[in-house]
Amino acid sequence: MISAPKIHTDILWDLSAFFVILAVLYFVAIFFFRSKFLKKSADTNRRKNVLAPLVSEFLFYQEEEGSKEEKKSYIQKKVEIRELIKDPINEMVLTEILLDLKKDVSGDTRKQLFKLYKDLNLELRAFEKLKSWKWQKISQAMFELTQMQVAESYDFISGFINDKRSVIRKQAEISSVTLDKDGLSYFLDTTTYQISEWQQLKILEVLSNYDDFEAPRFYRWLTSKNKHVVLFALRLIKHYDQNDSRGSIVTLIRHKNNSIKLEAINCIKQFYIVEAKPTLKAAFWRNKANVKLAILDTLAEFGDKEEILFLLDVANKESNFTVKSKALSAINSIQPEYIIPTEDIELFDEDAEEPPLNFNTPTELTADKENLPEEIQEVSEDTLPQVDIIDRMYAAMVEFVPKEIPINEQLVDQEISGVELEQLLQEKATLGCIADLPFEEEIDAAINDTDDEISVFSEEEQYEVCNSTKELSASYQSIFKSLFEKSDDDCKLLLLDEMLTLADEKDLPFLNSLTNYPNPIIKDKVAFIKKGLHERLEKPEPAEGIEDSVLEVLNEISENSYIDESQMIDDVIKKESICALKPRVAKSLKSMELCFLEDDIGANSLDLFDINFQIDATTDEFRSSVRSTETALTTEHEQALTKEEHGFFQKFLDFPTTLTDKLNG
Amino acid sequence: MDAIKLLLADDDQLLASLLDFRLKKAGYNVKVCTDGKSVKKYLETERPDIIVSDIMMPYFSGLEITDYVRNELKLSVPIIILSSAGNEENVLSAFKLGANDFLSKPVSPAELLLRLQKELARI
Amino acid sequence: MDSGFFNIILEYINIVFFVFTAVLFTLFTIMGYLSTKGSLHYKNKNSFGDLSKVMASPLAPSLTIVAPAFNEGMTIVENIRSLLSLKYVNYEVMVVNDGSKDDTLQKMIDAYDLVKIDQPIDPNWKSKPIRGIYKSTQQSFSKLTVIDKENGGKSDALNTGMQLSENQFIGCIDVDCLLLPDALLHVVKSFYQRSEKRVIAVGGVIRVANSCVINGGALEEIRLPKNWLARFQLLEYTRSFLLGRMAFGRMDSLLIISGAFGFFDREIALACGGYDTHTVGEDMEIVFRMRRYMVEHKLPHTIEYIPDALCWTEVPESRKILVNQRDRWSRGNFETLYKHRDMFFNPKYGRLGMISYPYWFFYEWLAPLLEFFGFFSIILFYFLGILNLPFFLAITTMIYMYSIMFSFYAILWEVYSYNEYKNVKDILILMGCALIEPFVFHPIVVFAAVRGNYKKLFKIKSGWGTITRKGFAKTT
Repeated sequence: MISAPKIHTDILWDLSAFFVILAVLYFVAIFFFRSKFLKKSADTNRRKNVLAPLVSEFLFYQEEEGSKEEKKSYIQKKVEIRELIKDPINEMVLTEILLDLKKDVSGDTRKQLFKLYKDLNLELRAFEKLKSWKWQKISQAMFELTQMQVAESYDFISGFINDKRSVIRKQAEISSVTLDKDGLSYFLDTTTYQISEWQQLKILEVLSNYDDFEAPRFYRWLTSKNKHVVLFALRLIKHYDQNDSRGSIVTLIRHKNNSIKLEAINCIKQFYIVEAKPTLKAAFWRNKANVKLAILDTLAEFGDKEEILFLLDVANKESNFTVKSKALSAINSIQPEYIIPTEDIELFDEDAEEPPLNFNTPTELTADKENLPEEIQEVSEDTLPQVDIIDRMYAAMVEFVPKEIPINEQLVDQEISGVELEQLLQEKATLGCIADLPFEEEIDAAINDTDDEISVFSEEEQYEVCNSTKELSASYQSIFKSLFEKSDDDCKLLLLDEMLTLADEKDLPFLNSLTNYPNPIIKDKVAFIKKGLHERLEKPEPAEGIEDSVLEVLNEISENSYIDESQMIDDVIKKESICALKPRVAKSLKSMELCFLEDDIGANSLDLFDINFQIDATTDEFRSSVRSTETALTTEHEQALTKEEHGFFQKFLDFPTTLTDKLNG
Repeated sequence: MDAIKLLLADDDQLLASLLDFRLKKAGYNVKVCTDGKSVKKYLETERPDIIVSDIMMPYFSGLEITDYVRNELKLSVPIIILSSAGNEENVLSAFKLGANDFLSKPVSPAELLLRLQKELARI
Repeated sequence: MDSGFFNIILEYINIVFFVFTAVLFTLFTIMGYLSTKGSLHYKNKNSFGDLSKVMASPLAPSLTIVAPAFNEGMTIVENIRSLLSLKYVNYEVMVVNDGSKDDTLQKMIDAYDLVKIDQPIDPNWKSKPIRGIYKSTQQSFSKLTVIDKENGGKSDALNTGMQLSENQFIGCIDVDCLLLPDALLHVVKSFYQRSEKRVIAVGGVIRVANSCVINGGALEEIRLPKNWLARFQLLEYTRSFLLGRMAFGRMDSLLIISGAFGFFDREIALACGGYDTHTVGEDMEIVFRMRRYMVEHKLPHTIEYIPDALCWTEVPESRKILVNQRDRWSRGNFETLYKHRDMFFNPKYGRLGMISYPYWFFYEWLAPLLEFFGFFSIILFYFLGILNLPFFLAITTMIYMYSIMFSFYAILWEVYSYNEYKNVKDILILMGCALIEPFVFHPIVVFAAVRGNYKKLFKIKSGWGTITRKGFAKTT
């Protein structure tokens, strides 16, 4: 029969006894350590009390001033302290005192302190400790010598820079950099080990303590074989603003190491290395999210309109939300006008949540307007997050169309290559639902970005785009409306004042909706403004000269060739052709046709499509208000554009909603 | 003329003893306290001519001492605050509470003497 | 023959029991050894050098402290003040009001002049909806951000903070914890001091703050808790942090970071999805997941453990709350271990799979259950007359002695590394706790663990064991 192996209970009892003994041992140890610590600190305190006054005496002794008596006692005390520090514990305590005081005092006293340390030959003991085999002793000694600024120890200490024991190595690095101004160069030249982030922090801190540190040219180390040195060198370049290694920095974007990449990109941003843009863009897609964010940040810093295409592409294709929104915000910082679509769209959503004011007042609202909020509500309930992004995309894409023509073709200071122009035209053409565009075959293979971007829109969608433009003008909402709802009564009054000069016919329905406004002051104001606005709008616009008449001809041509799709818009144009803002908006909407006409008309007539000349048609008040609000923009062209797009955008705000509505059936 | 009575409050004994030595050498009548409690106790009976106080101290900080001197004892005795670097916020509140001057650590004893003279000359 | 067979089974039970105990002892002894080595090394390495100089460096990384608050109206203002006065420059405090039912939000708004700001929120993020994001209008509180959101539990609140933060590292702490001013400097140092491995998380010691004197958000005097339950917990924390975590940290196989004081590399934490909202042991689970993520992507990584006493918290002083807390811990433990069961003795995960996971499985999860059922079977055996009494007595004595020995060792280390309790009497009280703990405190813990497992296995819903804060003792 099987039987289990026996466990002798004796063993258990023996073990119990063993544990009891151990427990007693620990019990004793606890009190032993306690009393030892207490005794030790008491002892140290006692010694400190003896030594500290002596130290004070030495630190403040001035040879010239002292009388004979004082000199005598000084010498006596020196003998006394030398006698005392023959005891190693006293010597240790004295060193401790000096290290402590070094932290607390500055100026002459500190210099005296260093002198005293050497006078008492304390550094000899530290040098001896350097030869110890215990890592903590060696690093302690290095620390001590560094704190006391014993320059002679540099040669010894720098020898430890490649020590395999990390604590020693790290202390040696700090000490070398502290003790000698060339220590940093030596360290970067010789180290074969990693430099941890913490170490970099500390070294930088040491460098910042130098009063007169002359930084070496750090690009020397960008070619180092040690990638940590490269990284640190980049950081130092950035910190010391050494703008002399642009080429190497740009190359480092291609480095395998992520941190180096990031740091290189940071340098590029700081030094405005504009020539790095192509490399940044090329490197973008093969990188991780954090590098992408850094690249977008940099492009936002110094990118110009050339980058917008790329950024739109990013916003379109990127799956990471943060990167996506960074791309959008980068577009905004390159061209502040782009902010408008996103913000307005958000306001719009809020409108849907809480019905705006004018729906509560039963007035002569158009049917379109009444339908609108419901549509939005539907969208915001089920597909809002995605729609929001799509909205921005579309808004940004479509907005792109009217803007680029004038900017690229009119601005004298901007050179546009033929390829880019073609690219732009092609983009517009795609949006304009012309499938068999001649340009399509001619796309330069190098411009992948455009290609991808265009492919995002399926033909079906393109059709939708065209169709929905019809609804746009119909469901147009006054830009003042959203502003109005957001402001308090005082602001509302101010806003109404502004409307007198800025508003046009499109804003009349909105004003009408306010005629029954509860607040009597506002109500009166509305009536007044309405009257004023009517008067203003009825005044015919002064003729604009030859350019304008050419435009009208062009408009006519385009109307004829485009009548099916944009009947509504054309109606609007005809009705409002006297209004200063109107033709511009209409033209913007039809810019696709203008693209086709470009070929026929030829290069020298291209400037006719410039939106800018229209600004002359507007009133002086308009221009001045533009100037005051858009101070950030430098050229008048851009100012004009900005304002113009306000109106334009208002139309496109409705566009995504109607589009998605259609898609949803 | 009697020696100028100076109250030195710092929890770092070593620094306190060093400054004590230097100030005594310069002819001040120095009283050293190493925590906020003893400062308050001393102030109950004595009226120093000038106070030098660290901010970080056990029991009561230099700020509380300043507040106590100005608002409870209603004394206009000059107060010089010692503070460690990077503590600008504290220095600001010290001035708000009525401190007259401040020195940042590490302290230069020579500078402290100069500032003391300046403060004393003012009154 | 039947009884003979039965006897053999009984004897085998004894042997299994003995082996289990022996392995346990060996493990604990190894732990003691490792932690001793670790502590000594740490002490030597960090005995000099001034951390604070580095805090203003341009290379210093950015940190976000996320503190979820749920019905903390009583202490919130004071707690935030202490969080805002840490010694560091580049950091942000994000308080997430997790749908409190009391006046937590209003108190914060009033005390810090908060106003609502606009900030876009990733629509794909899965946390509960955010009601508003607040910033202070005062320059001196610019580090503070308050997020008001619908109630979704602690993990959900932490996830929200993690998502909204843009800084490199995020710290997840309990808002009622007291952090020492140096805490962030130590954390940054721990994150930054390694170059060969990526530090994905940093954890630290939790110290018991009951009965300590706290003034103006600063720890003024350290005292031994007056409450006995808190004293037992102090002993327990000392053992588990000073010996347990230290040893696992030394072996680089930490699988848990206390939820009261844990810092994470935000990128990694987000990459693996943040906190799991379906478990009550989220602090343990996220570490499991982050480590698995790193192992599966073959990235060299480590988790650092800071033995300095940086975080002080109040432990429950009432038995009921304690039981609820432990009940929740054991449920969390169970859920986490179950979720990551494929790590069990899986060599792919190296030491994590071969040592850490089994340790958690056998000694943190299984041991209390064994103890519980062992206790009843012994009573049963006794009445059936089949109890091997000499063996039972011997092994019980041995285990008892071992536990005392181990506790004493922990106290020894407490004295050696902190020596914070100045009175001899305090030390003696702690030792007394060690002596009576197996009879008084331990049964409570075992009971809570069994209850937690029972609830979990039989799917009984239960709320959070919340700690009713008494507020720190304040002096004038």
